[in-house]
Order: sequence, then C-alpha cells, then structure tokens
Amino acid sequence: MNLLFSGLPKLNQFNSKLTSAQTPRYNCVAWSVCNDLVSLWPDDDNRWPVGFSRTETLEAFLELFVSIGFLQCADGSLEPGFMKIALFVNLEGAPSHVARQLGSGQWTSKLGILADIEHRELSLIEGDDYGRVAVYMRRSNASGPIQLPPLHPPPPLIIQP
Amino acid sequence: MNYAVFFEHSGETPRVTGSPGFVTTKPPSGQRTTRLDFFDLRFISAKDTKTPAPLALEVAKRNFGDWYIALATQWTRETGHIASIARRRQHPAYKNIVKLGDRAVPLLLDSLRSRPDYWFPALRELTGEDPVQDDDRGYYGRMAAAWLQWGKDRQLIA
Repeated sequence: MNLLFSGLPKLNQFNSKLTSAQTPRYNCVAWSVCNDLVSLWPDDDNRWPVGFSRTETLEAFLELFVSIGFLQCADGSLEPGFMKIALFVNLEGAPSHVARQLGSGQWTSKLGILADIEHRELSLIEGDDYGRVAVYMRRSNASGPIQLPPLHPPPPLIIQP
Repeated sequence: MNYAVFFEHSGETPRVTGSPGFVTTKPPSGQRTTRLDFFDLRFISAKDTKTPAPLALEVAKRNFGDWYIALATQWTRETGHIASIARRRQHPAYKNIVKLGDRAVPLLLDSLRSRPDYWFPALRELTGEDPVQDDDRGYYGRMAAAWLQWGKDRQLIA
C-alpha cells in the first residue's frame, strides 16, 4: 500500500497525484503559503512568527494567515484573482491541516512529513485525522508575493531527564 | 539512566575503556566483526564508562533492531501525514519506542539519516539533552545534523 494513502483512505491514484518527493523539510502550513524551505507550526520543533500565539488553536492559525493578507471567505470555489486556502480542524477542534487551491481549481496539500499531492476535492482528505474544513480564506493576487512575518524559534525547552 | 554494558562469556573481569556513560569489556580478539559474538548486552546504572562508537548502534540493531524498525515504520505509516507532532506522539508505536529507553537512542539517531522523521522529541525525552540551536529549529536538516553530531561525539553512531 502506498504510504500516502494509508492514513487518508479516500485518496487513490485516480483522484490525486504525487507532486514531490517525501521530505520532512516543510509542512502543510509552509506549503500553503508557497514555502518549501521550513516547517511552520506552533510547537517546540518548528518555527512560528514572533509574538504570535504559539498554541495549536484555530485562532493562532488565523492570526498567522490574516497577518499575511488572507481574509475569511465563504467557500472553496475558484475565484479568478484570488488565492484560496482551506484550514482543517480535527475532531477535537484543533488545527490539523492547510490546503491551497491551485489555478486549476484543484488543491495541493503537503501531507505531514510525506510528499505533497494535488487532489480534486478537499473532501478526499477529510476524515478521522484531518477532520473537516473549518475556515476558507482568500488573498488577492494583486497583493504580490507572500511575505512571512519574522519567524522565531520556540522558547527554550524545559528538559526533564 | 540505563547504559549498555558488555560482559565477556569467558568470565574475565570487564575492562573499563571509556568516558562517562558506558562500560565495555576488552574483546577477546581484535576483529571488530567477531566481537559481538562474545558479549551479552545488559543494562545497569553506569557512572563513568563508555562504549565503542559503532558498537552501540550495531548492538542495538542486533538485539531489537527488527522490533524498532517495525514500530518506527508503523508510526510513520499511520501518522506521517499528520503535521502536529504533539498529536503524533500520542500514537502507541511512538510510546513503545520511548519505552525502549536509552537503548533506542542509537537507533533513533540512525533513523534521522535512514528514515527521516521528527524523532527529535523522543531524543530529547530519552537523553534529557537538546543539541539543537534555537535558530535551527524548523529546519529539519540542521536539526538532524545537530543530533547526529551529538551522537558521534558520544560514539553512539559512526
């Protein structure tokens, strides 16, 4: 079984396609803003903007995306002139994934430390692990390239041998 | 913490050979490839000893490498698509790897090269250390390099 499809059982080779090699170098949040160099997540092992809430909450993710020009919108329909993303929350309401819409109307997702894929529908990755789409956001292409705010490593870790 | 100690079957007095952390006995022959045949792996609380570098990884692979690989493969297969490391750490396979204790450290370090994944929380948890510089967090290659150097410095991996 393809590793990509074991945790996301609705995906198959007919409704999605691999678009990169497997790599832990970047994650879905970075990929949603076209960055494939760094992992963005509000935890101890990833980067997150300076001064932003470093908690795994939808509010923290909204803060990030609003800061770079995204605004909430009604749905994931294709709108010329806008880049759209979809924020997923899992069954506990915690952020689980971010997907980005392509110019074709399809979606691209970086799957954790695995590869990134193109998929026709967001529903293909909904389920126990990713949950469902909680928020759609859009950003005008006229805003220019996305500039992330200054990123910062997490605070010092407390080591408990 | 537990550290690996190697005893000769011949009953000779173990010879302390190294720096803090591990104890090893003198091998009966100079052939590195045959040394493993003469030792049992046991675990004690050690104070001021050391194990030879590649040996820690080799012995770990020999003793529970298959089990570790099965757990690591299961963890990546079933959680690799999940971005939240906190959530991934709740998986039973991850918890079982951590339960291996210090014995898993050489294997985890080796995994950073052979099966890249976010093993950093487990390494911190098992070693009580964190060699990653704050500026390097979020950059997998730099984080892995820091841990690999840490392992080499302690002769846990080659």
